Amino acid sequence: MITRVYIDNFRCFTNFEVRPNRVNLLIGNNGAGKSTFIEALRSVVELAVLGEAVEEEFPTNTLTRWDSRPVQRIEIDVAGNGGTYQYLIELFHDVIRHTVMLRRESVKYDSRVLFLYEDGMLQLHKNEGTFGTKFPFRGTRSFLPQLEARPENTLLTWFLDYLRRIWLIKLNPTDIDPESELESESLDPDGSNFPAWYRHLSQERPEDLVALADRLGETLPGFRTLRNVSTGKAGRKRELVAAFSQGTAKSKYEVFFDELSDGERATIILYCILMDSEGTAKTLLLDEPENYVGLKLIQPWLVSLADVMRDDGQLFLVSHHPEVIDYLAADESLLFERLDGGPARVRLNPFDRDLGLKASELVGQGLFDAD
Amino acid sequence: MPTERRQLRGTVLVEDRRTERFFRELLVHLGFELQKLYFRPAPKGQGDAKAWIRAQSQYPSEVRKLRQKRFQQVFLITVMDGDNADPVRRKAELDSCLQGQSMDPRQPDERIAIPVPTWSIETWLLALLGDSVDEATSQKREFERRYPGQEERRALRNAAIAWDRLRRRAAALRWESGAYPSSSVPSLADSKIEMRRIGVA
Repeated sequence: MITRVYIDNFRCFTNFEVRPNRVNLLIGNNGAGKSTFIEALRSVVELAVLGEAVEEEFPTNTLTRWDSRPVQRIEIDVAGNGGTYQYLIELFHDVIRHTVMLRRESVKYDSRVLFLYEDGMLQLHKNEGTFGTKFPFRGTRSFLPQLEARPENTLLTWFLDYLRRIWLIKLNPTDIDPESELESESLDPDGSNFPAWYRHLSQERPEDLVALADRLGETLPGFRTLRNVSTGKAGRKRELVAAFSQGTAKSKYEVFFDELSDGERATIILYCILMDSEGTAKTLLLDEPENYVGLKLIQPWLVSLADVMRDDGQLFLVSHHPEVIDYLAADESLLFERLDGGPARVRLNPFDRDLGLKASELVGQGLFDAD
Repeated sequence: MPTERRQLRGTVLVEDRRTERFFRELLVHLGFELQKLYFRPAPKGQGDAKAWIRAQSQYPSEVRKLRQKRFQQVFLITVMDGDNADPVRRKAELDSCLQGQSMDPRQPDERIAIPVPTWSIETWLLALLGDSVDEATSQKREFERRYPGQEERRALRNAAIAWDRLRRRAAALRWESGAYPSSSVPSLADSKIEMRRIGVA
């Protein structure tokens, strides 16, 4: 799990450090840095795992506006695989030409260097930290996505697998095409490829779909199953349909996924995320997942997800919703604040219980100690 | 009885997450439906969680809702840490906070259970998991040492099963509070009597 994040000179973060727990509720006013925090993590993942260009993920306009330094720095510490990983990226911006390059990138395991990029040279080390190979490399992208798994770099590949399981989700169920041509191993942040991801789940974890349908049946009245059907179009195209039953005779009917309401679609996706997280330890960065979901449905889902994350995963959840705040405030709450428009800072568990108010009321009224 | 329990909607007001998780495990094990349970743990932070529970918008507000005649299929469980006090004292504190709001104290026929673990929930958990527990001191650290990280969930589940087993044995042998097995802590025996109020006989 992520035990420490340090961000310097990235949007509203200057010399910012946070030490999260397993389940973290991110609260604060609009513009306080909650979503920017998880965006920063997402950008690191896209750089190190998906091989996105540095310029795409960290354009010059991500530099802190009031800071004239051209160097950005992000550090992430992860406890796992029997030790502690430290991942660092340092980016140098040419603010005149609007270009950016990696200046330094490193992965350490219990302080042993596994991977180091510095001044145009890349060094790969073996598991035990001994020097492996060295070659010139251009810092417009990270080399990590190109790394080939070998017996001598299992520690490093474990870390990359870990990063792959960090998912950002900010659902927009409004425009989901029920049609998919291929499977997808991951869900896009907005959920737009859900039918393709569900095809993957159906293939990989068919045994879990019965329990999923049961859960959804308890949540969405009449819900029975979800399945991809061939609609006679060419190739491997499938369309996602949901089956319901109604009335005392339990007569069955089916609707295409895009015929469901936004709330039904969001609920189905959230329960699929829950099911997926139960099987594979994930780090979930959820930005207001409760949008679109009926009030009564929020807590049962959240209760189950938080349990899973406490055991084997990590949750960062941004929310303004009273239901979410009141339930998750019993775990760790990270209050993001910016005084006078300055840099973001974070306070841990800022609630004063002696006031006798719900956490959501304290947030809504801004009743935190001034410190 | 479990079929009837499935119809009931309940609110569970607790001081912390671990207590909430234990009662969730227990209620689901006893046949209550998770979708019909609503959990209200105190936020983590400064100040006294007991004061938070006693505050107007928590316990009194929940009791007021329960007393609305239209909400007949509803129950309330309020779990207060006993610390080193007798459960009776905590229940009296909750009664007086109702009276402070010009409300009647808890009545015998109301579906309001107030389990009060000695010190905190960890005392019960260790006792239920088979330890001989020293009630003179807090068991919080000992529990965390024994069941770290992922082991906690299984421990909570096993403790819930053990609570139910104790309840069944007590029912079979007609034990009453004072005649519980000597290994059981008194506040745990009292919790069985409290839970009868919500139909767990």
